[in-house]
Amino acid sequence: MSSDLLTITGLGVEIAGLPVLSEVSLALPSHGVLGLVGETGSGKSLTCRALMGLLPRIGGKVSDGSITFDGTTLTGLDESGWARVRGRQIGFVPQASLNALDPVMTVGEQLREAVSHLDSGAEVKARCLELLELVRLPQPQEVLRRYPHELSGGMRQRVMIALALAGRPRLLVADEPTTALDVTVQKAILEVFADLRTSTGMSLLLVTHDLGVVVDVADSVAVMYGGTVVEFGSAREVMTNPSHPYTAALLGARPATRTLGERLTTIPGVPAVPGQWPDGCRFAPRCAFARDECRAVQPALLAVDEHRARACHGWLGTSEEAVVHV
Amino acid sequence: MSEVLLEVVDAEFRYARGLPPAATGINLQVRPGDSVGIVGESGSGKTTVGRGLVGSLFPSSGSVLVQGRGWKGVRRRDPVRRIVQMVFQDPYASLNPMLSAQATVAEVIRVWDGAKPSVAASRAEQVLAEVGLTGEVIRRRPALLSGGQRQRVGIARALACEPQVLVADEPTSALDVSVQANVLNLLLDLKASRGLALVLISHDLSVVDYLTDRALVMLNGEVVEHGDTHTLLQNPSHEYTKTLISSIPGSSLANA
Ligand SMILES: Nc1ncnc2c1ncn2[C@@H]1O[C@H](COP(=O)(O)OP(=O)(O)OP(=O)(O)O)[C@@H](O)[C@H]1O
Ligand SMILES: Nc1ncnc2c1ncn2[C@@H]1O[C@H](COP(=O)(O)OP(=O)(O)OP(=O)(O)O)[C@@H](O)[C@H]1O
Ligand code: SF4
Ligand SMILES: [Mg+2]
Ligand SMILES: [Mg+2]
Repeated sequence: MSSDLLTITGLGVEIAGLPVLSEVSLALPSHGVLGLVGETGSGKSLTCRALMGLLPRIGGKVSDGSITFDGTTLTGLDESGWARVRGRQIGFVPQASLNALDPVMTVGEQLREAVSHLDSGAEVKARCLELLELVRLPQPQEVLRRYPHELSGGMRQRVMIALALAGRPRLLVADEPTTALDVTVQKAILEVFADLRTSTGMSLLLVTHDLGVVVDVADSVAVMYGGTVVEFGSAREVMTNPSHPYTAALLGARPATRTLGERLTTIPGVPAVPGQWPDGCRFAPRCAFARDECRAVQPALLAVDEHRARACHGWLGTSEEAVVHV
Repeated sequence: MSEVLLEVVDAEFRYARGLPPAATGINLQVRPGDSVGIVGESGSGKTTVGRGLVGSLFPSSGSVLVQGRGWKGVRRRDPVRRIVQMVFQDPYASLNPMLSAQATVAEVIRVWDGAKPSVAASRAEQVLAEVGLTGEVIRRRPALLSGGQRQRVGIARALACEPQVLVADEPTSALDVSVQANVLNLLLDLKASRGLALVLISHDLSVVDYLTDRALVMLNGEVVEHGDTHTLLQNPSHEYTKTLISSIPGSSLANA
């Protein structure tokens, strides 16, 4: 689609020769919000790293497929090409941002550096304060003087978001940006993202494990499992009426579905990790609907209807049945 | 009444003399099998209270007693340290970057049990399996693990000490719901089988509701509301608690 700001097509990534992502495909229209969800270790953060050109730093490389941003192919850019994209075109809030700040520089020093580097026209001091206010940090003057270890987890996380927004990016890639925030601040930050989308047209790729957040803020969602995208489509459709057994099982494991003292439903078996991906469908060892075909042939991500695509040979059950009680 | 494992009396915590207190007026008793939630605003002092409970920060006034004694006189290898363990909010910073997941867990088993390296290594493997980490992954260093994998290494390290009290600061914040469910089930089992007491600091109110009997709500360094978790969440009395509950995302996803 020509209106898409970002398209990832059949992306494969290897680290030290080991395939860690394969056949990752998704698209994000301009002004859009895409939620990226999936099991821990399923490849969400590696997808973000690929998108930021940060794979070489961990000894990884794109082995297959392409990433296109605003009509330009990013895969294949050299480091100076990436440097022009990062920060200004695509802002990044890395996961575990709690320790991504430089421990020996104050928040003010780090913000000033980012602002003067990314936003040449800005009046630096004013812009730094504006950014801290934007991410709802109380007493921004005071925060500027602090070192990262003198802030709470959620305060550091908001500083990271401020840094990512410093270059007024057209796309923000945020990898679990609100894990250290209470729900009221989380809500405020998600509103900030929504405001930026309205005022500047910023798009958002939001990695989260909070399915409630996906329903609230995302237009579309990509569900990852075992280094690949297994379901992609309208967030509302996918989250209320999942078409892939893994998505259905994920929805059934939420604590909100159980009462105190009752054991939570889990997905039996262990996650598929790189190097140990099974043949055929990677979810087959844990899927209640697996049959011979599933174990032999890896399903491709294909459209089910106009709202979504899924990688599954077909599953006729209901979401209740997908959750195997153990 | 069973023995009190941890007792906090009118404690105040400060990071430096010139700074305002990060938490004040904290009172809490923890007995075997208790499970207490701490929720509240970001920056309100929850982690600070957690640090006070495990003795890594001393109160500037009031007291924190572990089995009846203050933390101040407790030496590094005193066995009482073993019974109160903390899972840190920031798993990355709290893990030794040079040690694999297995070596990280084996180290505490060696230190506390004096186990032989081979014995410690195989026990470590068992504990890691309990939090869902198996296979080649456990031989990786933190940098090669995903966020959720690292978080589980931190949980396994704390559980390997066989603590009587676990202070867990956002223990499942990097976990997807299905792995989170495994970890929560494990904590529930340990509570039932060994009387593990839990102090759970979490932004996830459904996790707090699911796992704890009592809860404290913090705002600006103070406890603004406390009581039976379920009642508190159903029937909040403080304005802040009400706002907190009304901000829970995904109301349209409600209960399946
Ligand atoms: N630098 C690395 N070298 C080798 N393997 C890695 C590296 N980083 C991650 N992996 C592995 O690749 C897989 C995907 O990791 P990734 O960090 O993308 O997961 P994730 O979906 O973000 O998980 P989480 O929700 O836990 O953050 C995991 O099995 C992880 O162990
Ligand atoms: N090492 C430190 N030195 C000085 N001030 C600190 C230090 N650690 C925390 N603070 C301050 O103490 C207050 C409480 O921080 P704390 O980490 O306890 O909050 P929290 O409730 O855990 O927040 P979050 O939910 O964001 O993790 C904050 O204002 C913070 O800036
Ligand atoms: S392809 Fe088969 S094993 Fe895989 S999710 Fe679909 S039904 Fe289950
Ligand atoms: Mg991740
Ligand atoms: Mg904290």
